[in-house]
Amino acid sequence: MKNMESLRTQCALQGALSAANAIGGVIPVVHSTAGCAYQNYLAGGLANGGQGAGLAGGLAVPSTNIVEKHVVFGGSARLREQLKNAVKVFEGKLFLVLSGCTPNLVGDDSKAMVEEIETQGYPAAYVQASGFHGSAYTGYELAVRSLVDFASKKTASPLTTVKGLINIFGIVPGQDTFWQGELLSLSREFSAAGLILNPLFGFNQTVENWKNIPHASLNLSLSTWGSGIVEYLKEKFGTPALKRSFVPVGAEDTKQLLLDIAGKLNFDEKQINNHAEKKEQEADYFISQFAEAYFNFNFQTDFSIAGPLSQAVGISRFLAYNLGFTPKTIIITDAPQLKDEPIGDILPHIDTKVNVFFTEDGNEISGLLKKGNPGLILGSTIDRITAEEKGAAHLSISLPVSDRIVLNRGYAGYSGALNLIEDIGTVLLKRRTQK
Amino acid sequence: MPSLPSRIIAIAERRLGSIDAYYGPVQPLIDGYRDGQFFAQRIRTLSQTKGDEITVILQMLHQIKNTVTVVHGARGCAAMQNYLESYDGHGSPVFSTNLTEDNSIMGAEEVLRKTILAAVERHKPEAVFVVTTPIVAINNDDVQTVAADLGEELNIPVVPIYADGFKSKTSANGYDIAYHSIAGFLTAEKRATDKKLVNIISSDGSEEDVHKIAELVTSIGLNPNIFPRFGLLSAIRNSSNAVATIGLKPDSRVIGEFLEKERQVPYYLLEQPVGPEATSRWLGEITGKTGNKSEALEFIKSREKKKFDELVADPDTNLSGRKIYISGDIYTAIALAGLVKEFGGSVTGLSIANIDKNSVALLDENYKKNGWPFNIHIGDGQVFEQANILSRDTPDVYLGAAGQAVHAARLGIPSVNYAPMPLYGYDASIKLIRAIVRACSNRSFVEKLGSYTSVYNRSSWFGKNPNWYIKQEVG
Repeated sequence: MKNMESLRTQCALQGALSAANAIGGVIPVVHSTAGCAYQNYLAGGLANGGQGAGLAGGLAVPSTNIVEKHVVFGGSARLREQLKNAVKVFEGKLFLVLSGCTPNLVGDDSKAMVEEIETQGYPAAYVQASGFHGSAYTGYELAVRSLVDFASKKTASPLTTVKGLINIFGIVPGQDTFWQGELLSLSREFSAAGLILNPLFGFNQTVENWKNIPHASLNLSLSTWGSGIVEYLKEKFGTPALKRSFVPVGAEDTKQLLLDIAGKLNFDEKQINNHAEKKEQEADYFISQFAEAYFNFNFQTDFSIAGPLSQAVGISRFLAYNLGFTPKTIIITDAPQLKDEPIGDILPHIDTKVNVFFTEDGNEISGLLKKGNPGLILGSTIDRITAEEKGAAHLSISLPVSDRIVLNRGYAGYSGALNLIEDIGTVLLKRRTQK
Repeated sequence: MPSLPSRIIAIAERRLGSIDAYYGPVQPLIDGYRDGQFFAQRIRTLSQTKGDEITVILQMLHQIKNTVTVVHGARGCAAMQNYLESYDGHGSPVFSTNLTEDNSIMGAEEVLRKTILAAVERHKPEAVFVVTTPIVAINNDDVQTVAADLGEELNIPVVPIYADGFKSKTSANGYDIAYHSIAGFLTAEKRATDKKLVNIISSDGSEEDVHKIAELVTSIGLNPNIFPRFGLLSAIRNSSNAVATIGLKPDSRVIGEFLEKERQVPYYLLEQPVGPEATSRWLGEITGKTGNKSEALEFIKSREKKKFDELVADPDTNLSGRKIYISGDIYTAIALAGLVKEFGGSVTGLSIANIDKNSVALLDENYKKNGWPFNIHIGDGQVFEQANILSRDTPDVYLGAAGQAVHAARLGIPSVNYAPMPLYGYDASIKLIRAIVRACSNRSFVEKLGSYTSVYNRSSWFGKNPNWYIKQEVG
């Protein structure tokens, strides 16, 4: 048996709820038992860099809190009543119903209730996201599809395309700790390179941004969890898709991604190269400064990492190819289906064979991290105990994160890599002073 | 072997007439529970999320040493272990059977069996708790048989805790379910009464508070036997030999009454020792109830009185003129109200998670004693109702438990979350008093928050009565 102890990922309902909470004006209406949304708040809001869950998140999430009589006699009427009242109390541009295990097992017709409130003139959509349907990443996929369908209902035909507009998928709110920072950082990088990123989640993102989805020139996926979505959009709107399995960290991978996009869009590569050159000069300037501490305090080390594939690979590539760190063990905690890129093609191999494991079982992760005896462990806050036991430096980068506050910090792109250098340098220094 | 007559315990609504929805004067509640009657059940036609039986049980089991917990359900039913493990730390391992759609249809007894075996192999626990969830309640897995078989095979207690997640509206019912199983599976027969041994039931709260309780009990010459949180299974087994069981909240009632009835250990639910006055009273009651006289007690009282007089003379620890709204479970809220009064402040409103036939007297007594003119709000969370109430009569400070304080702060009200703070004993609550004074003296952050966009339609919702969506249940 696999993946049993200390699971790091929430359920599909909770993933869909985190996605809903990350869009301005969306009021999630959970149709399930009382604790479902509350556990999402504890695990995905507080134990994820203390980000919370937005204005309509946490204890504010409308939830039908169904009880036994709804299991026996059905809970559709309870959902109808909840929706009818929620639209009067909450300021919402979209009421997104998320139905969990219990109503789905007893056969509640949540969809009909949503259609009913829509006929009354209130914007509403529905996601069937039972916890048993899978992990929070599956919930993200389900929510995105529903939101796409809702936002594109009134899209005029024929479609107009905005040159350089790119929708981005696969960076998952509530699960990927740095999701806000990654989206902000990539938006800035893309904008400076002459492209327009449509991040869809986070700061300033509302249902209006989702309505632009059909007009994009390209749909970009930066993890396997966006892969199915961009295929869906290709089928639905004919928009080209670009799929990568990891978030780019640092100059090389960021530039390569931008060039790949330019290739797909027949975009002027010169603009990309000019942008890259400027950003690389800036990064080189600071990396050169970092060399002082690096060599004075002997920062070069081997490392092990545990996190979702897109992040673990992105960070590992930067550390291996740019900072001279040696990867020992890479543990993928979101257990994705690697359809797009063979794992061997994207992982770094620097003078040693890196060990790759797929598990989110906390006990297994702890054992694997211990085995390698790395000098640096990047993982969850729970892995700090393992790092302390082994005398390794430790940085929390993946769920659960409860020893640092993460708001708009990210590791993606050019500037993100400098954040990563600062954070890793800091923990390496701390380990030195603690010895 | 289990010595309880039934596998499950009736829900709090049926046993105790527990309600979790009400806003209005306190007198109808008092009248509703008179003469053994139950106050008529209320329902919400609009509700927000809150903890449930499962969340209550998981936070409790997580801190029972040398055990493992298996949550038999979808992975989300155990999601909060990420929070528990990373913030509380060093708790007992939590496993999930991580049920799939196929399991929900075809049953998952074999998955449960394998998970328990793996958990035992890994951690060699003294006991395994199996917490059931909605999927299991619906697909009717035979958890009892799996637990019984494995208990025999592994020669350790495998304790099923039947938390369906939808049986009761009252999350505190989770304590009752858990204690029902703990009583049946983990207590032992009485050997002989130890006249110095006092059971202290620790269902929630911080480790610091538990240590403080132990210190207080020890200071009057008694030996504390603390369980389940931060305790060992041996403490549960030894509980039958204690001279008394002291509960700090009504959540201790099921285990306390079991020990009283089945093991002849008297059970006392005492008001919490929060602040100097309540702590002296608490210690006095324990010495009285256990028949142990303590010469040290008078000395302690007099020493602490001197300290208290110095504290209230200091403006940093004086609440004079402060109007305070309190939200929490009834025993904690009443204890905090006493503390506020002791330090010179006044209470302007109360939100209580739930109330039942046993706790209504405490409410009655305190309303009468303090002459509180305000309505009582009964609701676990339900921050939209609290927002409405708070918009009418803005307090100087809102005191709330985890997850609630931020919502009051978003209205521009200085707020303090008391949940992570030590509360018990003579001086622990000074931190809370200082936090209240600090919150009043620098309002810059909450004023900023209050100026931000609200999630509520203020003109529509705040114009309605806060009880607009609370209805008497029919049928």
